[in-house]
Amino acid sequence: MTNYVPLYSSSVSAGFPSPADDFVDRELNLHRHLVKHPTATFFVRVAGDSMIGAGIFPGDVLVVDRSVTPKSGHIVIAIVEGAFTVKRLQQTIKGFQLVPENSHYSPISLTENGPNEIWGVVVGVARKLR
Amino acid sequence: MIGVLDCNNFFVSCERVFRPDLSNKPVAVLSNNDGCFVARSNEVKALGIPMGAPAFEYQRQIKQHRIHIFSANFTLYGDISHRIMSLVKETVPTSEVYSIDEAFIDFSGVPDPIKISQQLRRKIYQYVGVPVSIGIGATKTLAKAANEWAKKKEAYNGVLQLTNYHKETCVQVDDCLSKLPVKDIWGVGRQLADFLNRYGIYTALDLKQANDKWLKQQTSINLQRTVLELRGTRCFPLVEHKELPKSILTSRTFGSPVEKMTDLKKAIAAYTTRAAEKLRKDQVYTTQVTVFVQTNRHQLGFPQYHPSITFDLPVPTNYTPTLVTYALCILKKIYRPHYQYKRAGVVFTGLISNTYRQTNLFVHISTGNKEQKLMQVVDLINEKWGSDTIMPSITGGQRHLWSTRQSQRSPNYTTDWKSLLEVR
Repeated sequence: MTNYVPLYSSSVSAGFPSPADDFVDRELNLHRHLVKHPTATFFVRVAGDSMIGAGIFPGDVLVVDRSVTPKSGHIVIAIVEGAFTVKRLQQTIKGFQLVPENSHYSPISLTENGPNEIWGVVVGVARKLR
Repeated sequence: MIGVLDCNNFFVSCERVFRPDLSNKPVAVLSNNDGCFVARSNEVKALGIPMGAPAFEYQRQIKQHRIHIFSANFTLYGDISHRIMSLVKETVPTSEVYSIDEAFIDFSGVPDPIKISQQLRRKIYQYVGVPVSIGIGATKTLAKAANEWAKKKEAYNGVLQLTNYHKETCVQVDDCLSKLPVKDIWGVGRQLADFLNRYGIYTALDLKQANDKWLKQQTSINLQRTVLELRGTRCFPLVEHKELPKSILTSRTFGSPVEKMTDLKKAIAAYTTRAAEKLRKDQVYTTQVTVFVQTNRHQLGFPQYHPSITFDLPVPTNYTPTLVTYALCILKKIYRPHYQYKRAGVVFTGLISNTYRQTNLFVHISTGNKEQKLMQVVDLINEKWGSDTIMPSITGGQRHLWSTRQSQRSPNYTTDWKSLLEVR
């Protein structure tokens, strides 16, 4: 993992120091912004449009953090019949459900073991436009 | 107390993280060139297929029981291992990474090692998806014995501590040792186990109680230390800092036999390049280069030839072009036509830290700065775009008839953007 070190923008030469010298800061690091727990974080790619209502589109890269305890309302990666799926976890009176955000798809009920079939919680989405 | 953490069926477990559909199915991982079983799930172990067994001998069982086979994916396993070891280091103050899937833990000053171990175990399973077992004992050898037991009995929930006195959550040392065959003791191989058996020493308890005079006369100092450890005296300390590697080897068995010099040249150049990368990564120089080639030892009807030559370098180096030149020079000396080569390799020995570099009076060296910069750029490019992006042209590119068979390798889910897990 690369560590960013402060960049000093003015070279030390005879002359006036830059007024910005005291305000040198670290470069913004997008990876660090999205990945809070590197050991538990995995990237997965979206295939399918079941979550477009949540702003998740085919081709997107999802940042999945397994260290986060899944709660109702979280968008999660779940395992359904041996396959990976991305849905919103919702707790209802009937138990836990995996809810899509696209009217073409129906919710999936999880068994009593609910949270055990959750692979990880989606904490971010990365999308390149070009 | 010392603990040892060890991942259950590590390679198989890594594959299962990304293949939950295989969590209760028989899964096995084969070594380079799809040769031998290097990891088996519990279901495969139950079928009696031993570790290291050649895959071709078990084709019938593989089909019959629908054993799911993977070719080893060390890139993936290395990444998962790194995550697990980071978690260990975050959780306990002192640890020693022992192998790709094992680490020793120093629990001194920790009042409840079982509790910490259970927490660590749950954390690793949640964060990474790999089940681990932790054994705790007064010495490394006892911790390892405890670990063997922790794995075998589900009731212990993956964590087992051995103590001398009776304690509710622990197992009595001798109780455990009496049920542990000598071959399962850390540091005792099959040959040594056979030797001990001949003298009536069958279990770890037998060994612990063996006669000291006999031990001193008949066994190696290492085994005597093991016995002391079984008795509770620490002889093998925790080594926290990584030592310099003693040698770096890159070798492969060819997918099909190779006869031509041009193909061997490409292979040796490729292995040298790879090994040189490892030198730079470990921040060492090499002072010796060995090149070897081998015909197929198992093809008894064919003529056999396995030469090797070691060459002492005038100046320690980790500069790929120099090393490739030397390696090819050696290859030229050892190569003989009309043999069917099955394996070749390059070894670097006499490794020294790159902060020390004594020069040779008779060899002119450039300042070395330009070479270093070149290698830095090459390494960066290969890191970003894939390890075979830039290679010496002599290697001829990537896939060849001498390339290893990896027919069932899983995708590099965690290191290649093109291979990410897909979710619907």
